Amino acid sequence: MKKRTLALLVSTVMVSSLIAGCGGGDDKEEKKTDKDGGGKEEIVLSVFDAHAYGLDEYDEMKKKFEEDHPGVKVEVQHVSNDTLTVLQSRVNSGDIPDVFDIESGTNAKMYYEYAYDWTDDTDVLELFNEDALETGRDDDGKIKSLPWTYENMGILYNKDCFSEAGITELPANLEELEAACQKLEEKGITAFAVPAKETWVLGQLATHFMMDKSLDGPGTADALKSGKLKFADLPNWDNLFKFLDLAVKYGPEKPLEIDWETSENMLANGDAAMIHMGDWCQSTLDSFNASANLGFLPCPVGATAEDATLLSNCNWTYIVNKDSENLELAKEYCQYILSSDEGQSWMCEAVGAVPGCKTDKEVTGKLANDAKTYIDAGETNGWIHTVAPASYGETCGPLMQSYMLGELSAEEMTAQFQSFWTSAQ
Amino acid sequence: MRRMKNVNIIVIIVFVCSIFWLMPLILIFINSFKPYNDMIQKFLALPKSWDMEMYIETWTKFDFPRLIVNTLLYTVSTVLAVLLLAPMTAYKLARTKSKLSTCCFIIVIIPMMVPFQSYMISLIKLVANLKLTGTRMGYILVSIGLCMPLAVYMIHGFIKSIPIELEECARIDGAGKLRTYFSIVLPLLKPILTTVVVLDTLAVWNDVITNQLIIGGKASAINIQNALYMQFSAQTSDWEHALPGIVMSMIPSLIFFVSMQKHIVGGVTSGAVKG
Amino acid sequence: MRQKKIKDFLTFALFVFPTVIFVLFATDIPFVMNLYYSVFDWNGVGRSMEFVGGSNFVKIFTQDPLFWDAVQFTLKFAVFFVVTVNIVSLTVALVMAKEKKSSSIGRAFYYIPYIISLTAISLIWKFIFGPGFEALYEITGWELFNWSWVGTPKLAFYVVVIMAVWQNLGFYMVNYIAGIVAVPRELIEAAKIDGANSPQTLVHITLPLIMPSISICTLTSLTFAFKLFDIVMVFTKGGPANSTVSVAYNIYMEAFTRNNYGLATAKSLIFVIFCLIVTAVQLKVTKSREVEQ
Repeated sequence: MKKRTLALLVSTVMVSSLIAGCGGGDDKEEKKTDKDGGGKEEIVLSVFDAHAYGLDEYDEMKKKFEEDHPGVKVEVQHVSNDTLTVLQSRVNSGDIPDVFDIESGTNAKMYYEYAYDWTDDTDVLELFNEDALETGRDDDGKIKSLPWTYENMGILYNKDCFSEAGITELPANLEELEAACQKLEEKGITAFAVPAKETWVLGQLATHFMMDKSLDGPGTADALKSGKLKFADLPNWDNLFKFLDLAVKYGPEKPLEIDWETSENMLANGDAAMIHMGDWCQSTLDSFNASANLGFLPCPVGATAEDATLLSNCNWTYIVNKDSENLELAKEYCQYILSSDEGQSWMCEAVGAVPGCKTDKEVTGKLANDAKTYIDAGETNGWIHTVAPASYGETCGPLMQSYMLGELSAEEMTAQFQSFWTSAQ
Repeated sequence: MRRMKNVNIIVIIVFVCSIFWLMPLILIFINSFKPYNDMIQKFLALPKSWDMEMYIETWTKFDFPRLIVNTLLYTVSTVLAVLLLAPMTAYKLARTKSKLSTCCFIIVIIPMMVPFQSYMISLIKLVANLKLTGTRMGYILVSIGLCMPLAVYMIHGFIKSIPIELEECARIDGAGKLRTYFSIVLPLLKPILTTVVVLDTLAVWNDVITNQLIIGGKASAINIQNALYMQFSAQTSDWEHALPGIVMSMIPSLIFFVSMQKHIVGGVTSGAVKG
Repeated sequence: MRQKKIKDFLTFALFVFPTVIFVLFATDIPFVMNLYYSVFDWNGVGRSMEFVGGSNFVKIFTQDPLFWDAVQFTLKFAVFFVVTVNIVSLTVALVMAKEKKSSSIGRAFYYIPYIISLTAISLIWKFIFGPGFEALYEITGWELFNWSWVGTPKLAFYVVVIMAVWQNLGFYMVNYIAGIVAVPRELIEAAKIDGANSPQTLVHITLPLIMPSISICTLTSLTFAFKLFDIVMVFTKGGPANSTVSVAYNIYMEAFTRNNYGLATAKSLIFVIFCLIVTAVQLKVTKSREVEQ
């Protein structure tokens, strides 16, 4: 009895591992013959995409491209989590995707040595807005990547909450903001639900208070890095602490437990009046409450409404691998998703954001349209956190958490911000 | 008499507490039927309706049959290889006293202390050099290598507790080394092998990061958890599809565990009776 | 004689080398390959890197307080985790190691967290510490449920311990059960006839006989604790205020977020050497115990 079971076990193991081994091999060969049967060898374009928005529409767009290019297969890896890690591993292993996207600024610059130089392709560059193209410029002034959509961030507020509390004028400075918070509190509405669990949000929030409008985003970041500007001397920096104090005082009971999901949910359902976020969360907000009446409130950082900041940038940027075996095709695909009619509908309708390319299409995102009025009025500034030293959010966010917990004084936090920015050079 | 009572109280506590371990299953299950907003707002409440719509949508959207076939292939081949090789190695290492043996044991055990994150880039480079990135074979080979250290270590520890006399008897009876191993040693290892099989099956079944790194974007070869994980990002989560997906991916492993865990207890007692 | 030696070696090779090759391929060789970067300043992406000799190591010892905080956290976590998980899972195993329907269902319950993917688990815990505790506070009025567990550095440590114990209990339980059921029943019955009560048989018969299981479980729990990564990565993200940054997480962030790949490699080398020393000591201690029995 024992022997028979044993023999059975051993033989199953052997046979199955054989099958498994061959199975893997078979599968590959099968595919090859399939393609050979077609007479032509199939070209595979490998694409790495970091977005988790409008995936179904992206898929349709991709299929259309494959239909237009017989014999071409586009293989997309969507990695919206741990994006940098996976991309870095692929690049290191020599398996560089033909087209990939990454956050513009500090992160993208690391990959520019692999990037195709678009500078001379004027016919392509013409399709994009000039300021959007700027986000893809390297230190030598060459255009190394193409922009995706504009993303805007500031304080998002629920208009219904504001009108319920009788706030008619948007607060332009911190005193008015506190008055608004008091009014909201009287009505029993949580004024703030800043997602303080997310260090990246805190990092973004702090950049509003760094902004020197005469230098714009990248200029301010450079001045801070080189030490020309000092944190302690920034005119609005002290207000960051007042703001954080307000966020704790008028925020939920356990402020550091609020993650982005909870924060967006509270805003959409009117449980909280204000959060700090950007218009990329439109689809999430819509799925929580499609009829929520939301808008942008430029972040009050100084004394007047002119100082208030709304930050707008083409945050994601697409790189074409210059050593790609199918360079022309890769270029065409990149151009296709970023500027063709299909690409425009993907960005404007499915994602709901203003694309970096020139377009006549209506943008569906409510927040994006709201931000557009500020953009058109020239009242927005570029982003700082994407051109900040690497890991800015992950390093400085926890410092802000420490301040909110009362473990770090304002002076200590400022000093640590300072040393991070200047030592990273 | 009082002591008996004390013992019973512990038994009761252990059983009552087991509900805290069951709870995630229930919570995931009830929330898999809710729309996103209800899930965030009323996580503990029952869903408004027990509509299977999202399950069906998830099934087709993710092409679940393909995912299951892939994941099953990975799991079965990895576990079979571990089942064949790990006990052989553990047995030989436990019974051989030589420098080579100690050396091999250390080589096999060291990875237990090394965080995967600290060498994964080099691993991917190595896999790429062997032209194995994006292939099922590459993924299976790496999985086997990753599962091996703990498996060998656990079996090694178990073998040390088995008296060596049994094998010596067999040898005196004229059995060769392979025979002795397969007919005497292997059957005695059943309980620990069951543990190892359960452990590795679940590890491979639930793997995300290795699959993501080695298979990359090859839709034809990704596994279940990787496909589900792609729906999340720092700023969006598609729980409406993910939770039904998680429930569906859990059913096979749950059935597997329930059917295997009987052997952990049953297997040993039958062996002990014979001994 | 020589022939026998060769034959012995061949059997050894047949039994051992395939495994060694797999392990070398998947872990040891990549790890050693990686060490090469520890003497370079490299961002992990670019083609160029700069040789810096031992300065990465100097940096770790002189300018990296966060790494040493992470080491401290990991050690503290290891102590709490190893002690708690082994005591609790051994207790559960002693109760569940019976061939009864109820035990078999109970065992399955305890194993469930091991089956569920970590993303789902972190979702569950987010709501347990949020609305779940809120509801419990309303029912019981205990201040304990009103604390901000995830949002307070001191408490967040226990959150990580609790989650880790909760998630891994099933694994250690199964291991202990495998050891317990191998204890010959005759011995326990003989002890009972001699008038020993349950705690006495436990201490004098069962525990010494399951020493191999105990040593396996302490070592695996120790290595798990040292490598702690997933829970931190998915649930606490090292927060609040860096209070739950484990060593593996710190290394990961150094390599992939701060883009200091060389520095990260140097850290992993230091840490692995440290782990080897600790586990060697642990092995010595438990081995001497096993021999005593």
